[in-house]
Amino acid sequence: MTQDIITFALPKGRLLPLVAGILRDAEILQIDLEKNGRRLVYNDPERGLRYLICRNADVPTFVEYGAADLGVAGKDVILEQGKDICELADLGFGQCKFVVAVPSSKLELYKDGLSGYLSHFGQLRVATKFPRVAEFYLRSKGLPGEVIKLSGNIELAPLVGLAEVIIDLVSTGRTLQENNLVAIDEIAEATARLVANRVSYRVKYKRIVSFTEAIKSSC
Amino acid sequence: MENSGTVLMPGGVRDLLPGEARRKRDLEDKLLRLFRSWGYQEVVTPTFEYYEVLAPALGDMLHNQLYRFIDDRGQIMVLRPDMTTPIARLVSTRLQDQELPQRFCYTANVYRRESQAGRQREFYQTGVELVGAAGPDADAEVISLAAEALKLAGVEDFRITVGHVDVLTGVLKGAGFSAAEQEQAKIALSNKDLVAWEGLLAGSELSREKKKAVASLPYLHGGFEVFGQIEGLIQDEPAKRGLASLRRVWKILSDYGFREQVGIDLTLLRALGYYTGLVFECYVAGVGYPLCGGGRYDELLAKFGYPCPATGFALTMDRVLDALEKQELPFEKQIPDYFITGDDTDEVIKKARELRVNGFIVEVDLSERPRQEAIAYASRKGIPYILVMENPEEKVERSK
Repeated sequence: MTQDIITFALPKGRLLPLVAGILRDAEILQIDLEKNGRRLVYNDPERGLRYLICRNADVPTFVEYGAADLGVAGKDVILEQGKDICELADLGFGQCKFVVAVPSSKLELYKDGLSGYLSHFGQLRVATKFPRVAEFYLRSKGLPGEVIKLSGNIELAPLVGLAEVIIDLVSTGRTLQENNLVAIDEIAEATARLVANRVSYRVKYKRIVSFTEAIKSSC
Repeated sequence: MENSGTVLMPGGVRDLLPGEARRKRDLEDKLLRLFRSWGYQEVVTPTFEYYEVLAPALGDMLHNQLYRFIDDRGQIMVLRPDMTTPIARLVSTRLQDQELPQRFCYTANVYRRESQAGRQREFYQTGVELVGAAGPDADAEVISLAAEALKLAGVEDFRITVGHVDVLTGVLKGAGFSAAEQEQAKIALSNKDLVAWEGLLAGSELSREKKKAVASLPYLHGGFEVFGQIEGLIQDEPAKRGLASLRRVWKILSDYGFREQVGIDLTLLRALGYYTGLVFECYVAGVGYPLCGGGRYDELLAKFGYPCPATGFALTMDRVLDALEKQELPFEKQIPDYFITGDDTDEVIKKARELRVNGFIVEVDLSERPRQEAIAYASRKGIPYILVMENPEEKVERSK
């Protein structure tokens, strides 16, 4: 019965071996997932488990709709999508941060904070891949501003006058440095999280909690 | 986007085709009959009302989801975002002189702005409101009725989770969280953001002992056994009263035979702003959202000038239908029992009326087509009986 099966949505690509390692250590995953396989679904009927391999950014969607009970997704994806899901554990890897950055040449203008910075330009345009996070940040700071959604190479925007500020995900900060940008504020850490569907969390509570405990103690 | 001949539909609204519409209607009829048998009377309220009347009674979330428009007199109107608020308005303004408790039920479409893809903007709710009864027996009645409704609908293996706002507040207060921390904790716990909850605990100035005591809060799930654990965590009066009423509700639900389906989860908080005490939600595996939600809203009617306790619930029909579909209950297809054709119009009409009065579904042929074509049409549709009314005598043929 579907009642007893637990379905995991796992991110494909570079994160998969890390996630699989943790699930293996937690003695949950006991079948082989191909490294670069094309298979999208793996069944482990013996243990009543199923694994879906999907894109990192789609994990919260599979989980929110209940197509998967549990999933592993980056906090960046969770924040940006604002999905209605439970966040059960911080898996600790995939360490990167949402930061607000400005060109180092303009850093001086920033000394009174963003509102001071804003007064020099008369407008605040924020280039980002994460419009929801950017909107939320502006609103929480009480700043008027326009969010400009780009698909990549965010660092380019302030160099060519498309935006005064960027909000981006950084891990080492090297890309910022290379483009003469300085981080002026941190919004959130974006490590990988174990997430659960709200209904599954209640209907399959016992199994999900025991998995959560096992995963927490193995990462 | 250029509309090149295709007919566009806005997102978040849907058509119901014959099978779906029939299932929904049958279900609504069954549910309203059930509610009536418990003494609930159906009421209907308008689809739109004045913004200034409804808005002050709505919490932030519903307020942000309102569809507003300006009518031809320049008044701001809203499409109803739920039925609880309009019924509170109706009771407060027109039924204040009635003896309490008053019981109401409804089935209606409601409208909410949803930014998320996949969420319905128009959806169907069927539910009850029990006005003027403050005690746990009233809470137990509406939860039992919700359980009966799901059972009657044919939903298998549903679960009901019950929480209590005052008890949760009492636990957080008892642990020594500041008012601001209590709010943050409630947000984290109701979102089931356990990472944020642990962060909050780690950052708070609670003693190690207290931290340990409340760390288990998100895991206080289950039946009777959790009451004992909660008892040790609360001191203040509202929380004690809340816990006592949870115990009483638990007992009544057991008496109704729903012990297996019900669980306590203190971290259940419903997003709609008007809930004040006991709250509950119903779930089924495979449907990612609650099928049903409700609880106590003792302060809502006062916003319309009639201080009066109340409780109730709404089933989201779209999700109940979704659950039934996942159980692969086939749609009942409506196939007529009889197909009547023939050139004796008098007889055709007479026969059709006679059969319809006797409860049969009868389709009368409307086209002037050759007999064989008409019969072929009826057998393609799977109509078991085909009557041909020829002048002057009647022939009965059985297809197949």
